[in-house]
Amino acid sequence: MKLVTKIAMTASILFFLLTQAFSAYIIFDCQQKKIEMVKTSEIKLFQNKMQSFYHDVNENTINDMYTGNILNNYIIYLFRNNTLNNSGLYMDDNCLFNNSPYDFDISYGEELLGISRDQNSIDPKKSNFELYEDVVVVEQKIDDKHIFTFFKTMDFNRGSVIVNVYHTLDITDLYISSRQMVVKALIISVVMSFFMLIILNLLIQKITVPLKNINETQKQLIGGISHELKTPLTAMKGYSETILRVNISKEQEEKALSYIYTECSRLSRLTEKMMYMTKLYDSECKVELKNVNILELVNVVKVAEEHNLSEHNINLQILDINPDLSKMLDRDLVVSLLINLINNGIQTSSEGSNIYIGADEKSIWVRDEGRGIPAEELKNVMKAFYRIDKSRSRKSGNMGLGLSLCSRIAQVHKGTLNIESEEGIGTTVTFVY
Amino acid sequence: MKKRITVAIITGLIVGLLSGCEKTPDKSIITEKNKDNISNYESGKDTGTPIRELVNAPEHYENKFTSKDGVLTIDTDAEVIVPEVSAVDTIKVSTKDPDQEFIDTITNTFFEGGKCYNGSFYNVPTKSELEEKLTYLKKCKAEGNMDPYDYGLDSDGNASYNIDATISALEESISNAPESVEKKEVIPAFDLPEYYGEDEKNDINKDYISVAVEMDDDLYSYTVQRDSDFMQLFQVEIKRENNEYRDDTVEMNEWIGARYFLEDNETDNDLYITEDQLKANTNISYEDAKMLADSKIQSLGLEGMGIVDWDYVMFYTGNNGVTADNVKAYAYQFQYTRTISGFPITYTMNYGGCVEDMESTTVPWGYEVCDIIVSKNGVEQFTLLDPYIIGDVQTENVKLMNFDEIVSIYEEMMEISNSSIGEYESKRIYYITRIKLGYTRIYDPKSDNKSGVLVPVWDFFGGIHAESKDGYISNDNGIDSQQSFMTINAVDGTIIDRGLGY
Repeated sequence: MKLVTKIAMTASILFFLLTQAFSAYIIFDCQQKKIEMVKTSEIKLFQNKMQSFYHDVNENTINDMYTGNILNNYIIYLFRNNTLNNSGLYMDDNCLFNNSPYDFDISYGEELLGISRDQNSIDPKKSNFELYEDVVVVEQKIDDKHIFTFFKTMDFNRGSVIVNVYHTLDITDLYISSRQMVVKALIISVVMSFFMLIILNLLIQKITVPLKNINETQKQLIGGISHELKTPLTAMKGYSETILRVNISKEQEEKALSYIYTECSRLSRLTEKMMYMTKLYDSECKVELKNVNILELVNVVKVAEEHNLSEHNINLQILDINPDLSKMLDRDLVVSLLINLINNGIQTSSEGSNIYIGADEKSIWVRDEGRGIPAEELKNVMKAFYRIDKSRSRKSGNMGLGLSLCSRIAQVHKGTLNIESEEGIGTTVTFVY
Repeated sequence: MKKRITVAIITGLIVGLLSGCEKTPDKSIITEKNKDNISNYESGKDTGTPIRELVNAPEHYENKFTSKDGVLTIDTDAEVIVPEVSAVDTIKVSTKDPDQEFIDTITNTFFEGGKCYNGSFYNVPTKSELEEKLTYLKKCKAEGNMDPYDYGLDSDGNASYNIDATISALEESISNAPESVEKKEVIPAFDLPEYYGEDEKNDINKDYISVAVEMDDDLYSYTVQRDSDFMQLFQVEIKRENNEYRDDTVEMNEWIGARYFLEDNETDNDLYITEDQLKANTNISYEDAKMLADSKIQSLGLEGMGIVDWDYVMFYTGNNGVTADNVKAYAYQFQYTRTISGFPITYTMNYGGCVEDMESTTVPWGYEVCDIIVSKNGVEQFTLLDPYIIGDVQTENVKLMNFDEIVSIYEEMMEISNSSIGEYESKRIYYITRIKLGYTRIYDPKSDNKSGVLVPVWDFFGGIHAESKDGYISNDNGIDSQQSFMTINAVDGTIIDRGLGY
């Protein structure tokens, strides 16, 4: 699996786990709060109804005339008028009335009531029942239903009549809705994680592609450097060894030392150019764009190359450039570009020939009357360290970096470098803004 | 990597699902109700002694009680009716499903030789019917009668009936109404297509059968309904569309019991009639009418069905109650209930199927009702509600409480249950004219709303004279009343709420 995909997948899984954990906590917490709210509300309702029942019974006064069936019917009648749905009324162990779907274990209820009264604080975590004032509240699961049972004992007529009342409340719906929310949260998490995976994959790829390219270029550069260093170092080592070990004539010694000097100079220039190239390939390389007068720029280049041109007896002509022509350029970089192009022209041109510089609104170009570049080499000439004629180029000190540098300078200006060439006629290199 | 992913997903699922868990108690304070324990009665022996003797029930019972504040009077002067048997059992009963076989039996019983048409299409008003109604409404409007059906005013004082809206709706309907009645012959069954309009796709009605039957120059409506979301049902209604005396320009076109209008019944009516007049007006003898009714009911195959009560009925049309001018026809109404081993189910006007309150989610079950109205024209109306399947004996020869005990419960509880009437009434007199021992069905809807038990109960039938504090007086002397004011379980003396069924 690709590294990018691994990173994206790890992030997505982490996201999924975190969202699941968070949503589970929230849902559970909400569920518990809701259950507590429902329970409290139902207890109040139950208590109110039982108070009303108690009030009615006492108001109507149970007296000794009410016995047996009449007493039972009397209490049932008042209970039915005052109770909630799903309630039951027991006297002793007899069920007087029960309109709930459940039968009630009176003895267990009384046992819980006794326990509740003896232990003032019951730890709800360790038991499934609680005491609210005089009401025992039990939560339990029957089949798939979650049921609250509220139970209390009431006595009338100075304790001569004792009844147990209970009421059930089905809260299964609360659990069902929580489970539904968990499922929904799971589905949403899975979907979101999947989308996150895709998006992360794309984003990481977008970020890493330029880095990859830089990495690739640097590899190439390093490869090129290694190659370029190897040859002169080998020669320098060879000549040094000869001077040290072999008895050679002074003339031969001077020749060897001269070669060593030439190669060292070349290596010095190489490292300088490499550092320059490295700087240009840095993603944080800052290009200082200023409004630069093109004619003035070209004149500066001409002055800088005057010596080199006169040494090779080559004439540099500035063609018709509008003196008002200005462009937003990094002055130093463009000077370097033009110098490189002129140097290339000097190296490929014969004595007495001309090199021309021209510019217009869209571009600056340099044209030489040199030997030209074969058509099949055109696509490679801008690669770092590429030389058309290896042997001749090395002799002249050409390292094959010039056009690569120029191309990079054009890129950092968000422009392009175009080369047109004809063997035997010359080459025109155009920097298009 | 795959393993890690799997572990991560499973962990996530476990974390989520654990939110549903809670602690499990060791012991249960409540358990599911045992459906068979709806009533645990003591079984006795059949000694051959009539029940009346066993429970010491007199032939007639009289007592008058007035409360201390003088508001409530319970005047019991009642015939005590006890079946002539020596023992009674409690019997299991359950709901009868409206299967096709039974529907076919009903169809064949009442409509052999008749042609059945899909009522949804048959009853779509034709152009001429709508035009007739439109003409009538326009005439009423022209005459200044903006409330031809006497709907009156609503709580805000505005007219309840909007004649202009009705006229525009009719005018719009006429354009799409069929020229003639659309007759689609069908076999009465569920899942018949239901008409939704000319341009709309017809739906299938799964729970309601509506059929129009043409037979012997008569037209009948025949409907069968089964379970709804609120109540389990099995209801059959057959009505003769007695067009010779229907008046669709008025709100009421129905049969009403004649007992309230008998001269010796001291109710406040605009019509008083004698029994001789009723007999003469029916133009069919009681015996002939009964014979026809019996033959129809017996054909239905409902085991043990027999006439438990009957009354004269009058067909009236109008908006303001029964008057001498708006009674159009006379007939007999026969009420049938089951009799099992000589012990009948008691018939009352309370059809049951009530719930404790508006928020109840219980699906209730009404009582079995079987009524038929027979006139000189034949069967005018047949109603069958929630028929039972009679099951096994639950408790044999149940031991019944003594009549004296029952009566003392009745008298005490009548006083207790009417203890708050003084808030709104200055006077209330109960006239108890009949005390009857018979079966009623009790059930526990929370544990099982499709089965119950027939238990012997005492019912106290009668009428009320009530005077409200704002001057309104209602009067019913309770003669031939089918309203039971108290139902007491003859075995254990508990009060049964007939509306709730327990």
